[in-house]
Amino acid sequence: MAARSSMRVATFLSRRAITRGNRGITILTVAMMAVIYAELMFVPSLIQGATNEIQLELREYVTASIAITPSHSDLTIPDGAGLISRVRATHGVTAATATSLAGSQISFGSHTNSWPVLAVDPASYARTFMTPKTMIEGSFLDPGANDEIVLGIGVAGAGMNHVSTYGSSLQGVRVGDRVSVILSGGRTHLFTVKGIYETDLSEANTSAFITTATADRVVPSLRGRVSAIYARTKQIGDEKAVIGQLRSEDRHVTYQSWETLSSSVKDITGSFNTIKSVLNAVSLIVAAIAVFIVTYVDLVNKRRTIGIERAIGISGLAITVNYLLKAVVFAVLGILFGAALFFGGAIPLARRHPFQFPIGPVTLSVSSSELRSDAIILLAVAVIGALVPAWRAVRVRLLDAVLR
Amino acid sequence: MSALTRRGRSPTRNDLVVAPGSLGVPALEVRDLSRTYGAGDVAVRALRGVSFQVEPGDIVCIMGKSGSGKSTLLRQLGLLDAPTSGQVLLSGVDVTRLRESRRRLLRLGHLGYVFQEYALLPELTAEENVYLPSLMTGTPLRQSRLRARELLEMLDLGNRARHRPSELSGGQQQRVAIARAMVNRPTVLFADEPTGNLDTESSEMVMTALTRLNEELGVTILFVSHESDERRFAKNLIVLRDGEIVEAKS
Repeated sequence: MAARSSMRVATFLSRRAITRGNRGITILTVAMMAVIYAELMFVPSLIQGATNEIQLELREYVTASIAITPSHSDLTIPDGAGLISRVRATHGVTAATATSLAGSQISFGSHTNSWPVLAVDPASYARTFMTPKTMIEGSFLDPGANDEIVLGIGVAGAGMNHVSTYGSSLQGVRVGDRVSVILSGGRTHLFTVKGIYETDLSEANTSAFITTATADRVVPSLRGRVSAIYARTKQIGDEKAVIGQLRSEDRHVTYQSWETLSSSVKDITGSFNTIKSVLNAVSLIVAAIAVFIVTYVDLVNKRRTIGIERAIGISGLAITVNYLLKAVVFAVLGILFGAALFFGGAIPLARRHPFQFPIGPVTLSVSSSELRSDAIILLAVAVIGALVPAWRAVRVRLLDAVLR
Repeated sequence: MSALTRRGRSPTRNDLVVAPGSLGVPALEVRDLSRTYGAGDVAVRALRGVSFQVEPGDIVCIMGKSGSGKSTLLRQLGLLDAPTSGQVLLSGVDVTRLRESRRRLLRLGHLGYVFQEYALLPELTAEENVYLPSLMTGTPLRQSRLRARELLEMLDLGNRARHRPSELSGGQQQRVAIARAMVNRPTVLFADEPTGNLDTESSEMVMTALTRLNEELGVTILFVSHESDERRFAKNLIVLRDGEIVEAKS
């Protein structure tokens, strides 16, 4: 009964204080909470956006949705032609392409280095990967191209010394130049550069492509051999189901989704998550201190009022809960305004003017679970920030509070 | 169990709802009350063995020069402070050494306290200020509001019920504070220089309000005053000097 009365009085007092108290302080407190909440969401969203961008680029340029590679120490997939037909016929697969490693060393003038030279079917490759759409010079391979090669910017260099891998590249190769390639089996062959591509993912820029037809002609031993098959699924998340269907048919190959293959970037996203956690912790500490200060200043100014309330018989519980309720209301309003600020301002703005990262343009990406957990954490922080000074205020000697 | 048999021992929870004006029992009894602030060389003895009784329905004026211990005495009686030694008995029940939670319940339900500086909550209207302690007792809002209205009407503030303290004069604020002190029908009402901040006309209205409450509701009142003119409102007078009673008369 006493607790119920305390709650009733606390609600009564906090309602009056919020609706009739100092508007300026209310607005500033809510604005502060809104900014903290927006800030709390901003950094994780940016990091999530960057992570999404990296994963997208991996899918589009390196791994596709599913990569099928030989099991154990095999270099080729047995019956590659048969398997790719089955992959294309699998429900959920929109495109699939096969690659075979045709060479590993490229030279131009005095520059030489090792890069994978992949033999591909240009049409199916263009349906599976986005690389052919990233040409900065020339064009991608035509199905009937002979002795033509497409190089990544990390291989060609193309005189672009701002590229991070320029030093190890062929440096000055442009479209129309002829480069020498040491093919599988040790034979050297000259190829004319048909095009140079540049993706936003530097890892994807260090490959070279020739057509399967050319490879079959210049390296007959490669005919019909497949080093890897890449499949594109209709939707992200379909990979597991597709792999499930394929795995039951063939046990001599390894099926891996892009998520498994993205382990190379896990270190990057892992670091992002660490940064995110640190920044979140800092933001929450700032929020707790801010709420503490606002409540503390409010309580210092109202020390005598609290003394009077206690003198006329209002319980310490009612007084404390009154301040907690105020903090909760300010936090909820702050969360609502912060979310409005974020979804109404920051996200559309970042969509229109993406952040330019080395990996490419990055927009903000936020999950509803992150949104919820941030809101709950901010509420908890606000309650703790208000509880400490309120709890202390009702423990001041009554006479000291009244006489102040 | 009569109030007489409970005299001099710590109260149980039931004792805290003792009826005012129990037969033959003083509304308030003070026994050898002392209050010393600080210790050693800097100790200040604000009260020195004060003893007196106040009968139910009495109205007592406590007078004395500044620093004589008037307000200190009232704070001990109003359970805002605890004495160094001695006893305070409320309707025969010793309330001197109660825990703060019990003292709060007594302040809420059995004692009323009026401060010199009105001490109203600025964010509440006059009516809300008055019924706030009533809400704390668990009384329904409608009933609490009704009681507050009655008291405000009684103190000629019916038309100011929805005004905030900042919209009221000093005299009006003090009468709202008196109404608040009366809302839970206390046994004893303490008023610490209730007219200390008021002009003559407002002071007269406040003192009239107090005597009216005494006459119409039978509440026992102890008020502190430094105005010798205000002793005419009291039935009994206590004069303090240096923490001791130097004069007590009817």
